Amino acid sequence: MIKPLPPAAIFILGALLIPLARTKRLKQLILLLVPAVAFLDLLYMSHGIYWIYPFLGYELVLGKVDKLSMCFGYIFVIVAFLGMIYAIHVKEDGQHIATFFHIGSSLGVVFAGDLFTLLIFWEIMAVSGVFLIWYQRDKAALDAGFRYILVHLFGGSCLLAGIIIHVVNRGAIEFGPIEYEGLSSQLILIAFIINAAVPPLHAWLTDAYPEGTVTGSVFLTAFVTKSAVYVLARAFPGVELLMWLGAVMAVYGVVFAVLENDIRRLLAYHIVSQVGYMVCGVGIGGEMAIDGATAHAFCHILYKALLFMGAGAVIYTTGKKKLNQLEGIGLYKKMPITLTLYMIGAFSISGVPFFNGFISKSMVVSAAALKHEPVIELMLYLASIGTFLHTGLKLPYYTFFGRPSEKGEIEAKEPPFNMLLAMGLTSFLCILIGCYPKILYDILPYPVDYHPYTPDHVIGAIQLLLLTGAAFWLYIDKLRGEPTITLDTDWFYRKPAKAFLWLCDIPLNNFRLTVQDFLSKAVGFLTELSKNPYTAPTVLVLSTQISITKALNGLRGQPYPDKVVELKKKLKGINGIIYIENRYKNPLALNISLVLIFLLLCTLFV
Amino acid sequence: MSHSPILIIIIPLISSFFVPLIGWRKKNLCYPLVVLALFISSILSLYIMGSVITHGSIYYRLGGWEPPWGIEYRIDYLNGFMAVIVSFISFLVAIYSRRSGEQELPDRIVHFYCIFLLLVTGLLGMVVTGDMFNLYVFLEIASLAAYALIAIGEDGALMGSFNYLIMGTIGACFYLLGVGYLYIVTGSLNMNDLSQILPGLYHSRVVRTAFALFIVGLALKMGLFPLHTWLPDAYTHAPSAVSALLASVMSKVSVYIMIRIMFTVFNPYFSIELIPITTMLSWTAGIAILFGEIMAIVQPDLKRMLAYSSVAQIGYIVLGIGLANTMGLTGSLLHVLNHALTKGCLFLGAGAITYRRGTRDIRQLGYLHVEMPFTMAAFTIAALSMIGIPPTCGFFSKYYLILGAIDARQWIWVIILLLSSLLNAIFFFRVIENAYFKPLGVIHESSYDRGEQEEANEVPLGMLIPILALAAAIILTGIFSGKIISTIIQFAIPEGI
Amino acid sequence: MKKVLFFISIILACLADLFISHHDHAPFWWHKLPAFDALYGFIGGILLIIVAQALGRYWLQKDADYYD
Repeated sequence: MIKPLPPAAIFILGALLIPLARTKRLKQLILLLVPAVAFLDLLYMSHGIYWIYPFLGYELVLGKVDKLSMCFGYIFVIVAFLGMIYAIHVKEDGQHIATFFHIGSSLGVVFAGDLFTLLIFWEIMAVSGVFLIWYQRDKAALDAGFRYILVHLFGGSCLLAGIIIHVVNRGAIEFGPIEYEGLSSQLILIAFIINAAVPPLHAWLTDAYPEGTVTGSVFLTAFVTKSAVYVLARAFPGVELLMWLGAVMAVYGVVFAVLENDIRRLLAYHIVSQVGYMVCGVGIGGEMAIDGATAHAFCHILYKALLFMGAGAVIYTTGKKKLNQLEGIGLYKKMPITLTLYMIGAFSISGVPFFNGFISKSMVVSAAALKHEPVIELMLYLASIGTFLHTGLKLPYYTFFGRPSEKGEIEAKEPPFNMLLAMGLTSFLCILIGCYPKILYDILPYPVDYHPYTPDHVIGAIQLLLLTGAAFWLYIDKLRGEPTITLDTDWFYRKPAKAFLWLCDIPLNNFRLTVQDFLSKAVGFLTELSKNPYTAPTVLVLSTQISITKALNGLRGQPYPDKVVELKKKLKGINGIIYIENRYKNPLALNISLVLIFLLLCTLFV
Repeated sequence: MSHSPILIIIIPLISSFFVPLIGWRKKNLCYPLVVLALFISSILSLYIMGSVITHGSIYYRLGGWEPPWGIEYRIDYLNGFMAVIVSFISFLVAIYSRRSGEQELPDRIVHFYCIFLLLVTGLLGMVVTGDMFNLYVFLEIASLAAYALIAIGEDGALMGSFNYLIMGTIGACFYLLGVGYLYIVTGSLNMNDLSQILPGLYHSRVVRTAFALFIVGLALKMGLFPLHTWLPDAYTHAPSAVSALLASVMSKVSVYIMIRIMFTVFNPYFSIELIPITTMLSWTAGIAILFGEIMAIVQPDLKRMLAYSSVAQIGYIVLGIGLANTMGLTGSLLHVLNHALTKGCLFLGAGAITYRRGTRDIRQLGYLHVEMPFTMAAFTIAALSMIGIPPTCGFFSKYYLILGAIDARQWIWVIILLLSSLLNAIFFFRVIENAYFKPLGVIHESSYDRGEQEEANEVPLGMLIPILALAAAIILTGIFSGKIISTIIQFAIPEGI
Repeated sequence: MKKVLFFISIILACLADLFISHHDHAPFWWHKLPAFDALYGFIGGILLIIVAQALGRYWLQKDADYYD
């Protein structure tokens, strides 16, 4: 019986193997083999606690395996495999290495049994994720990636601070339910919330996901937010704050999506919305809600990957990513397969019966109802409407259809076979789980007592969908894409950040140069003085004389006219030197004066 | 091997005398001699450390004369730890210096090696000695060698070196004055002796002035804000090997001396309670951290950015000293090791970039990851260590410093430390972004998918191996931090904290 | 033609609701209303669009190069 490896290790080792593979075929083989091996590994793992390493007086637990972590583990590896099929045509090694590190570290987070391991993998996940955004290489991507890493490092610092305080107070580093009180748990919660993209800290997601590479974004959507959902479920189940945050999130996402023009940003807002369902489920607590959150995470990873694959395919073949650019060029004729597969994803996210969203979303909504939270239930329901409206109707309509415009049709064809294959397999899984929910329900943490396919559920869903569709038709013109961007909470740190950088650069530098200038002039004067001490008093007298006479408006006859002119020139010479950072010749004045001040302070102190 | 403490210094010293002789005849033989000498020193330092771990502190009397009249070399955990760091990094930098020296200062390579060995002699001497005046001697040897080495560099190096010379001499003079004052009142120059005589004299003005002079002098040498002004120029314009050695090792030795004086020669009681120098140091250090990082953000020159970053990192170490509790000092000492490795790797990497690209401007680093993939990978690992991402070593020293701050119940340092991670991220990720992702002209993703890549044009192995070795060490020291702390650092912390 | 089919299916769905019993799991009073989902879907959809567009037009939407 082979002892199973930590799945994180499999991916990280795989990442290191990639640059060693010399031929293209071998590389592609590795890319597909690693997730497959990881899946087998998962099948071998049984519940319990494994891979314990002593460190710094504590015990690191790399494998806390129970139903919750296994469920997330399975879906992570499955989507890794599907995403790899989608991305297999990418030749740049770096992208694959970053991807594997990202997947590996997310698996590390999911199976972490103690807070330190969690922290380590959390940070690696953030850093590897930013590379996936940066590989797109255009200015928007570089900037967005930069903001992404700063937000995530901020979250990482919060997590570090929270964990340290927690450890100092409690002395234990186990990763389990944390009571929500006191500074440490609040800090940890903030860090988790940032990664889960809860407003107002969600702006990084809608900023960065649309800017990543076509293939990279597929991976980005799956791991960071869902591992955040996992840790929330593990650490803060039943915290009521989360319930409200989740419901607000769900509606927030769809409201912003109404206004979006960039197809991937629209989908990104829907990620915020759907994760809202999951966060809400965690907040409601209790078996059905946590089950619902987990099931929704599972399904969401699948259909969101599918949606991003579809959108990515459109961007890949047409080079355009905005609705107003894509409208009316008749893509439905050129890319019918993509359209179909995309629609499968759209139906899944909207909760159409027989697709996988239906069986998971309603679980969370019902849990809210069971807990007698009417407002929550209605909010989540509203979000469903919005989701179908945009992902299921607005986006495909304006991307693939739209009123034929004068722009004419552009060259487009179906994306390469590997992308279609990946989309096809994902669609297959969506439909399979939708029709046969038992597969999913069996791996959920708690026993499931929920039956999605009751007549009133199905009829209710159909009603919702049809009438939302009617609303859409009414407003179809008003919803077309416009070339605008929507302000979001990232305004709060984007505008000030620019100001901050400007502040560092211009005023501080100028200030320093002015001080240096002044002191250097003083030293220059002194050196001139010491060069010729006998004339120094004369110089002093003469220069005062000059200034006085000048001030009295009119130069009378000078006693030493040539000398005065000469001295004037000399004085001008001293005063006229400009100092640049690298070139100043007399910095000693500044240095020595600082030394003297410091010495004075020290002696005073002492 | 009972003479190893003195041998560790003598070997580089004698070799430095031989280098010009050999160089006069055949230039190419200098390099093997230098490498050999430093290699032997490194092995000896390891041996010394090993024997300190197994047998306890080593006392070595120069010439067999008894202290306090004779010069005594006294090696305990702290010394041994520093000696290992100094000798190994010097060794790696020496391997690196052949190629970089060939490009940067081809006609003065012999002088370079000679003075390089003198610098290492001085540094090692400072580390192993147990006598105050002997320390001054080695301090001056090292400083003079450093001035000369910096001056060999490029354009602005002469001014930078002159600046450093003036400042450094002031610092050394202050140190000498301090030693002089102590000698006047106690009649002894031996550190151990002093630590026993001084407690009776803590009330004396002379002793206190001496202490103030020590602190200022050493702060000058290590580049603690606001006495750091010589640092950016000196580090930027020096030859790359020299910058690496100075930034990683020289400043650390000054820190070591400060720890020695504050906690061994003078009691911890004196340094913490009698005179709250530690409070002052922590505040200065805190400001140093923020100042260094903010200034680093706006620098377009890569080495200057790293120099300002060093100012901030010295702030970290001094903050740990200022916190003056076990966790804080553990963090400090661990950071001494980590920063030595990290800054060494970064400066060597910057030198490699200059070697291939001829420019240090960050904005012109595009496409570097294709041309020099290994160097950039090592640079990235070192950058991650500076930011503090596990499992690199930088994370662990930061972790201990934060623990120390929490222990002392001073939350302002926790905030500053976390903030500095973010600031570090800004300027390091700028470099990484430029090197890996800078767009060159019109980019459509498919051109990268099609794999159009230029040939990799890495730096020669002689330069690459030290860089990669340091990068590997960064990760390994991170993973094994626990072991390092429990075997060495735990015992290196001066008693009474 | 398609529009007619569409309307017919809406009416069918609403009618179907009358025949399905909600009482076994109906935690809230409005679940028992016939055609509740349809109504909520329609009104909710319209509301969403109007509110969001209002927010956008008067506050949040800016030109594409606002941040540059």
